[in-house]
Amino acid sequence: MGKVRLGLIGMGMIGKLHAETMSKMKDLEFVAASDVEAKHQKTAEELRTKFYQSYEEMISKEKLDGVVVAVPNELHLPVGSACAKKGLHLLMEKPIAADLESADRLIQAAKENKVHLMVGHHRRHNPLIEELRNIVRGGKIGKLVGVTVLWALYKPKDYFQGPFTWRAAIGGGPIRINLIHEIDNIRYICGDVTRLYAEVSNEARQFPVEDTVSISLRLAGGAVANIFLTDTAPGNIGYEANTGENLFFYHSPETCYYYFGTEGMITFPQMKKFFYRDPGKAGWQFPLCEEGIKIDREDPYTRQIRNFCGVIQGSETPKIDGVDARKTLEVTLAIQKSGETGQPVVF
Amino acid sequence: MGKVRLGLIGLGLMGTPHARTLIKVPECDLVAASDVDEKQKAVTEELGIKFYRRYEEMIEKENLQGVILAVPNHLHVSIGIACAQQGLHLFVEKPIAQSVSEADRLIEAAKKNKVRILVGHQRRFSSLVEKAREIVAGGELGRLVGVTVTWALLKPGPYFEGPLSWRKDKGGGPILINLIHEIDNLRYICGEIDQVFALTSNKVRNFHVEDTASIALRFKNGALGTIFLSDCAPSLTSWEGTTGENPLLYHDFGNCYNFFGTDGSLLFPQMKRLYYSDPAKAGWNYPITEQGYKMVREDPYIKEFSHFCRVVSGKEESRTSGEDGRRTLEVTLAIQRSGETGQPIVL
Ligand SMILES: NC(=O)c1ccc[n+]([C@@H]2O[C@H](COP(=O)([O-])OP(=O)(O)OC[C@H]3O[C@@H](n4cnc5c(N)ncnc54)[C@H](O)[C@@H]3O)[C@@H](O)[C@H]2O)c1
Ligand SMILES: NC(=O)c1ccc[n+]([C@@H]2O[C@H](COP(=O)([O-])OP(=O)(O)OC[C@H]3O[C@@H](n4cnc5c(N)ncnc54)[C@H](O)[C@@H]3O)[C@@H](O)[C@H]2O)c1
Repeated sequence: MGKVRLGLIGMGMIGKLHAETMSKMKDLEFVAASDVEAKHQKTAEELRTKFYQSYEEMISKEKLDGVVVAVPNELHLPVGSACAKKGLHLLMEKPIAADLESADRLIQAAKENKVHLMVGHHRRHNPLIEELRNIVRGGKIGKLVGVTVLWALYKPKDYFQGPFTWRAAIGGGPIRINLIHEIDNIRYICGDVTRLYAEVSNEARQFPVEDTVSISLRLAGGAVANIFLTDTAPGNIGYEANTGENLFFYHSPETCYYYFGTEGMITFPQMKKFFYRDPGKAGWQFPLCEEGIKIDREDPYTRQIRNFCGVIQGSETPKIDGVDARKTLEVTLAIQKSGETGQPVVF
Repeated sequence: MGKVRLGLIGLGLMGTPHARTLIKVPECDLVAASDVDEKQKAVTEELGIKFYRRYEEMIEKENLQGVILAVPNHLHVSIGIACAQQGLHLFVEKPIAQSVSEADRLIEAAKKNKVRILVGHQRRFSSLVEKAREIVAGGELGRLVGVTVTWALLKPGPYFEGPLSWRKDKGGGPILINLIHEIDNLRYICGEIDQVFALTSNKVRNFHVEDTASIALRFKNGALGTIFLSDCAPSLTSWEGTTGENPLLYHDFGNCYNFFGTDGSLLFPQMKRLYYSDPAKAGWNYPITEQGYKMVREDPYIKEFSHFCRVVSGKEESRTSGEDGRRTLEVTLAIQRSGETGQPIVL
């Protein structure tokens, strides 16, 4: 089989990043890109790929193996289904779709047309997250006791202005946009969520959408987790700021996750393990040993496209398929619901 | 005016160090101490104070102004009422009582006999807590949006053994013994808590009592909170592991609390305040300014007992009144109940 031939639909904020990533990868052919906005033609030219204003035209004219779909959420289902019908494998940006019903229909469309459906929860492709998963699942900190996740980054004023006023409306807030990544990370690293409760507030910004959320989760293995998230407090703790994965965000060397096990604790993204070496001297009055875990960093977006190519060629399975991504969406939406009803949600 | 004449009741784990502290406090005149256990006489001889096996005899004979109660929890109310009836002001170790209605009885008796209560939540006298309160309540962080608390550590095996095996049973665990301090701190620094939810687990130690909990809180002022609590996780991310205020326990230099407000956040106990100095450059993509506070560390117990003397002599209002200690107990008990019922509790 020759090089995998890929197309891109949607060249906005994240689409552009995919375009740049694909144009740099030698083991694939970035055949064409499409956006309803003609201004994106320039980017296509710079990256030496063909440009279409109509994605329908692109997928019928070009011989493609798969497409990366990075259009707004409400269009995931129609665009994804149209591509599936053409027999194209799908890498859908997250969330899989705007709601659970659309997600089911998209999963069905992929199944009927025998195409792979992969979802762009790119953090799963970050070597730091993979290693954390191996540590937790491999029992390297014993039995998992609990997890704390902190995400407190300040979204600037212009984030909500001009064409982005939808971000102040219900559905445009940190639960659906940011928290979904945290939920997917927890699910990927620890396993499924069995019960949750959320307190949700919009009192600081007074927008219809939430700005602050406090969550308690129970996980399948019996561990519990906390998430605190706010986009309205000047702070420097949060995955984007701490991992340096995307340098748009100001980089701060703080810890955003603590993973607690019976045999040790991991701080993320420092990837330091803290533990008692001598069981005879284990307890709050004794010093803890500290050990660094060495990990080679690699760009998760590149690894994500590489996984997609592998999936198309039949040599790899998707890091996250449609059913898995639907579950992440389900848990995320349940947080919103718990906040509205004031009741816990059981899965 | 002379020194305040005080007696101490209960010379156990807490009472003995209290006796040693009290004789160092200039305003205090520790006249006598009492314990049903004759063995405890030794320390009174060493300190040159009188010893009584029967506290009733002590409070009758010694013409005291106030007493320090460091007896087991179930005796706080009965002994407290007996002392109040003698007109003695009360320092009651935490928790004020074992139930809210018992606390009410003690508060009522104090009122009737015109004596004042100070409940022994010594962290309110920590200079770190005083500073955090000044920063948060003083509005330096703007409007408070949330707070996160992590209390994760490993209690060593012997903590649960022999005469201490009651710690394996209901009420002997980290919620009633340890969390109550965190709750009191939060109430003191951030304001009243009016809604709680908890997921608890005993899956690691398999004792009757919980070993881990994930808690979501709502404050009256609209702020949200999360607490992660575990006594079976090797970690230093706890009050004890970061502040160094318990000399018997090991500590290092992390943070156990984060306070988030609309104008900045505070990492505690590192006492780092983060904020944007230029409003035009405020947001997750801009560098954030970090400010430290110079802290003078003082012994909170000495401050607490000096304060008690001034409360006895009517010079200061009790920093932790009976009502205050009662509310801290009420919130803590509600968290325990929520853990049992799986439902949120509105206070
Ligand atoms: N994985 C991540 O971290 C991440 C980050 C940001 C966005 N996303 C997801 O990516 C998707 C896009 O988000 P964004 O922030 O890039 O939005 P965006 O608004 O910047 O970009 C969307 C683009 O799609 C184009 N478009 C709309 N309809 C089209 C159509 N029919 N055919 C072709 N192009 C069309 C728009 O013109 C626009 O350029 C969303 O689903 C979002 O949730 C994921
Ligand atoms: N503020 C804190 O951080 C903190 C820490 C530990 C304990 N405490 C509190 O201090 C109190 C005592 O706890 P402890 O750990 O010292 O317990 P302990 O069992 O070590 O000591 C209690 C002492 O009271 C004595 N006693 C019992 N009945 C008596 C009576 N009728 N008259 C006189 N003495 C009597 C016992 O003989 C014993 O010496 C408890 O309320 C506990 O919650 C507070």
